[in-house]
Amino acid sequence: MPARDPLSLPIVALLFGGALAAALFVDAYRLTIVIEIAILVIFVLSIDFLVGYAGLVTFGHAGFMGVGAYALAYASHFLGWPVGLAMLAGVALGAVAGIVIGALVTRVSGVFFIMVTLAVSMMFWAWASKARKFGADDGLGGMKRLDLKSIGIDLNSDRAFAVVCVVLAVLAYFFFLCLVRSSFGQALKAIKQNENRARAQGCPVQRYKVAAFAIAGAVAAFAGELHLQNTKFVHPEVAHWIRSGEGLIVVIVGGAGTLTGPVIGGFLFVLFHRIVESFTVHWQIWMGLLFVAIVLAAPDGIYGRLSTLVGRKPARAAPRPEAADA
Amino acid sequence: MELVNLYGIQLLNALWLSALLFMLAVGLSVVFGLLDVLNLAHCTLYMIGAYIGFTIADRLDSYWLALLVAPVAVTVIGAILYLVLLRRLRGNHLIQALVTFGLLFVGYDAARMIWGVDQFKIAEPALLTESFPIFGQKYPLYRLFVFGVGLATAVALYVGLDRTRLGAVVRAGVDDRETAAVLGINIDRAFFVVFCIGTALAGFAGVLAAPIRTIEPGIDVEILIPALVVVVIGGPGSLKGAVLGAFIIGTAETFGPQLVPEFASFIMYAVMAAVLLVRPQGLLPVKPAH
Repeated sequence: MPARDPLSLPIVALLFGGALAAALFVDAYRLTIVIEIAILVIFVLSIDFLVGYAGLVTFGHAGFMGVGAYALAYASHFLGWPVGLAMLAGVALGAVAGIVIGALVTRVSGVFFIMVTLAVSMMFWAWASKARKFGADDGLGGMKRLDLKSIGIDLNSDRAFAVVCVVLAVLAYFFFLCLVRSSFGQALKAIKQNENRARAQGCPVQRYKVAAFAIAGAVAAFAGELHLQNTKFVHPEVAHWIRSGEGLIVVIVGGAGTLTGPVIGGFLFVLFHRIVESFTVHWQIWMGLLFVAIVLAAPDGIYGRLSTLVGRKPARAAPRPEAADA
Repeated sequence: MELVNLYGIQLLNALWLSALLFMLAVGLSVVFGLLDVLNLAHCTLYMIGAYIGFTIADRLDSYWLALLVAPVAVTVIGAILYLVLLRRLRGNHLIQALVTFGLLFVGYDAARMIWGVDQFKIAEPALLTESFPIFGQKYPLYRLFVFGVGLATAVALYVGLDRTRLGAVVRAGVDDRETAAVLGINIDRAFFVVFCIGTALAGFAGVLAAPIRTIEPGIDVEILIPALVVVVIGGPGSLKGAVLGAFIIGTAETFGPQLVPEFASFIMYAVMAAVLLVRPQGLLPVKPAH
């Protein structure tokens, strides 16, 4: 648990502090990198909560980003709701979707779970890429950002938007930190370690898993809303399974079940992507090879490996998911 | 009568698509069910098969040579992949899924680097360019050929699994790996052969599909999802399940756009979700549910 881990706080402080400083001082192009990092971090934290703590290996979490983005687009663009209210509605819808989908998918386990989550998210993607109202697979532009002029912040400036996104990423980190330390989080870890034991001790396993899905769904929907406001564009790609897979990779490469690891992973992913992209259009081949190398060299993830190197046990919540079910 | 003709043609389309999906899914399914290796990059091998087939057909002007050589080349690539990488990951589905997911990116970009982003097609072999009068129209003979090949593959695999020594070894290994190993059977070698057959079929399917579907970067991911759905609804590791699953998905994908156009794009996922809710182990699982 991050509390007993001396590395966690300095790393997180360094990364988020760096991002905040960058948001204040860098040029317009690098600002887009900061925003991208902050949004990805929020997204992967919600995945880590499911994968690393609740042991629910989802391959379709980007579907919730899609729910948030499309709900926001619908409410603010078509119904004319204020963006703040529309965002609340989107997050609520993300939570509801989490409950419904969670109740459905937690009936299966193992590799089937991976497949069903994938299928459900792709159903959303398939709908979105045919939804003519939202421009089908061309997407739809002209989306508005949240209006905070009343408190003196103009989010239409990318700099202000970047600062807000970084602050929100920090809040998301501490939100999940509190959550995993709460009795609810502890119960999830118990379920992940041994579901039957948790059930025998009277823990309503199913309900807890669904609740975890609702929370992770709401946060991912929120990340989707930020993504929409960043690009001012709604596009089915936001829910594509490649994005879910990337998120999962970021979590595993960073270190699942640590919260700090996925933050590291999020920073590295975006930076690596942008840097390699500036040298070659074939960034994916290097990204893929790096994924494979890291997963093989450090199955605990970068953060797990770091923790081991400084002589502490890796801050894992439990044995790696799925390792035992083969 | 017109309706019969219309649906008849659609049925024929469903059949060749099912055959294609079967050849792809059976490798994925058997490799997962028997070897416990979830290989998301299976469809990368399909794509590479199609590209290599295109290059051979283009340079040597022979479809049949492409159909013969490309699967061999793909098998070599698959074998290297298995020996170097996948063998070590056996048993950990999450890591397998992620490593092979990474390989998807590598394969995609490698194909783009070598063959570019243009669309290609392999010309149908001269023998099969004719059309076949059926249901009041002319139906391309080549599509029937694809269906025939798929059917023959299914029969050959069934007989192979049921009647040959390798089949018996594989069944024993699936049933109880340790006992089989103790009895002196080289399980690892048998599983390696099974993996190679699976990859060869993926490459084979790539070339078979190339005269009908275009070859371009991204066809790997495009076909991966239906193939995975076939595996899941049929039951991983199950040969009969792959046949049934391929037929269901091939039919749904062909008739869906016609009957319910607005839902066509997610019929496949809905079928899968429904099957999993009713029978979480798939329709024809290898091992009965405990």
